[in-house]
Amino acid sequence: MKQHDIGTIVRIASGCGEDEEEAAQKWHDEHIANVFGERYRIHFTPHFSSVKDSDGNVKGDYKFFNKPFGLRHWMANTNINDNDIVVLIDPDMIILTQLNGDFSSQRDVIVGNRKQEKFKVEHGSPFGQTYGFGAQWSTKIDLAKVAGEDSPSVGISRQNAFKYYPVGPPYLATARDMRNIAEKWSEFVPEVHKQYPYLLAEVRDFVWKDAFITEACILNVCSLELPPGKMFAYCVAAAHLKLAHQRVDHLMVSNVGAGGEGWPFVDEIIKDESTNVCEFATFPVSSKLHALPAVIHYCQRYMLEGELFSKRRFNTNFYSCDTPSLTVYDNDFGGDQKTELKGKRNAFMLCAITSMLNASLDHFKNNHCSR
Amino acid sequence: MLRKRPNNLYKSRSSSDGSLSTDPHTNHNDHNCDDYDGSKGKTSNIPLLLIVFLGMIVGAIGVVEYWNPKSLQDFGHGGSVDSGGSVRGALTNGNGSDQVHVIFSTDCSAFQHWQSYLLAFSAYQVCGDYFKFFLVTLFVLMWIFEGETT
Repeated sequence: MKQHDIGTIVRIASGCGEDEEEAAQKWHDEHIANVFGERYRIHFTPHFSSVKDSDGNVKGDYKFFNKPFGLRHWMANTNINDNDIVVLIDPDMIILTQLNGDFSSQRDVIVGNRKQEKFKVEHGSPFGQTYGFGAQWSTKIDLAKVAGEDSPSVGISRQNAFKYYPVGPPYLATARDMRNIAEKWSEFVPEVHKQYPYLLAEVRDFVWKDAFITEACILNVCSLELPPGKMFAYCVAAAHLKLAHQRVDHLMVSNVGAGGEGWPFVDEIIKDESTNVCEFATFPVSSKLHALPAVIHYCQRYMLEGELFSKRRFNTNFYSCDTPSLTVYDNDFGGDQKTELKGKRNAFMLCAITSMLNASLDHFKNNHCSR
Repeated sequence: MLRKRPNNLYKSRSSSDGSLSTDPHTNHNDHNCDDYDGSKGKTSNIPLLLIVFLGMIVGAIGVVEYWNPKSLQDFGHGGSVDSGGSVRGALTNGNGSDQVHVIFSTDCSAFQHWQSYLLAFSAYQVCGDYFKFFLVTLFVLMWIFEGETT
């Protein structure tokens, strides 16, 4: 993608109090927009995360409602071209390669053993990262109750439910399609949550006891984790709108033990005897020699040789002038031949995440700290 | 297997006025300002500096291309919207009206402030903005350097 094709990079911040909003806006202006550029924006929305019962009373707080409702709010309040492409990602992602709507390069695309049917994001052809929940979005949910008896999602075959819809961030669609998805996603998510109120940690054991067999599991590539209801609601919305997604695997790496992610790219780096995986993953990362997954989704814990990265344990005040840099890993970190594949994948994640954090901290200090 | 981060890694040159904003890339070939003998610069170095400056610009462009090997070859499809409304080459149409917007949703907690900064930084370096910053920094360095020699 040429540089002028990049649009905006928008943080949608939901549910901020007045003081919080003012502080967040100020911090954003000073530390992000003034340094990175005006294309980096923050968009505030009301509080969406309250779950109401049938009487309209708030009965709980589910912060993941912010995503569909926040997206809808942003799209309703932003003037963007219908032909523009919207890429919806998670905040705990690091972008490694350019995210765009072109999937025509075989070198840079992984579709597993499936047939790639679409090669560009177009109206009617959204793309999404494969997530390992198979067709469960259609079997665990009473679709007629969520989307209406006449909804196209109700009659979907299990094969198509598996083939086109078990996707998650990054999602890519034209603005027109994403606007329609956001509407239905927001409409459906409360009922889906009511029927399927599980979070990742809660469903993990349940899934294995239930032993729902998907094609992914038969192929031994199913993820250890299942998504919260918001992801199922996205699938229902897309199916309701007949927006079959081209599933791709390379957009994300996250779980070192999972299939359906961009690990084949990392494994190629590991196999290359002339390349050290940690050195390769250290900022700045280039896709010149090896193709790369588009984003790192650091939602897991990454451990090797006593080193650990967990976003939950990370210093929330990391970006400050007196923060010391993180430990730098030797180039041969994870390079021991005895280290198994998962260990080397962990090395890739640790080296990529910490070096990106260090580079970003340097950038922060260079721009905001007097010396 | 681990090494402590060297104190000078990525660290900007120590500047007495604190006015230089540098980043990892600008320091790879950095030298210590204190070593510079200003008296030597009083003979005119401007043509040499211009050559060096142009060389750095060309080098930087080369780095950009190295970083984004697909930037030229993969996106020259031209663009049009056909009668059926499908977007062809949406990222490359000549009028530049079609863009890619990257969106992410957060709450307002401190937990997601640092994530947002990290994500923005990663987008910044991938989108090429980092290199614009790099070039501007080079230009500023050269401007200051030239000012000291004349």
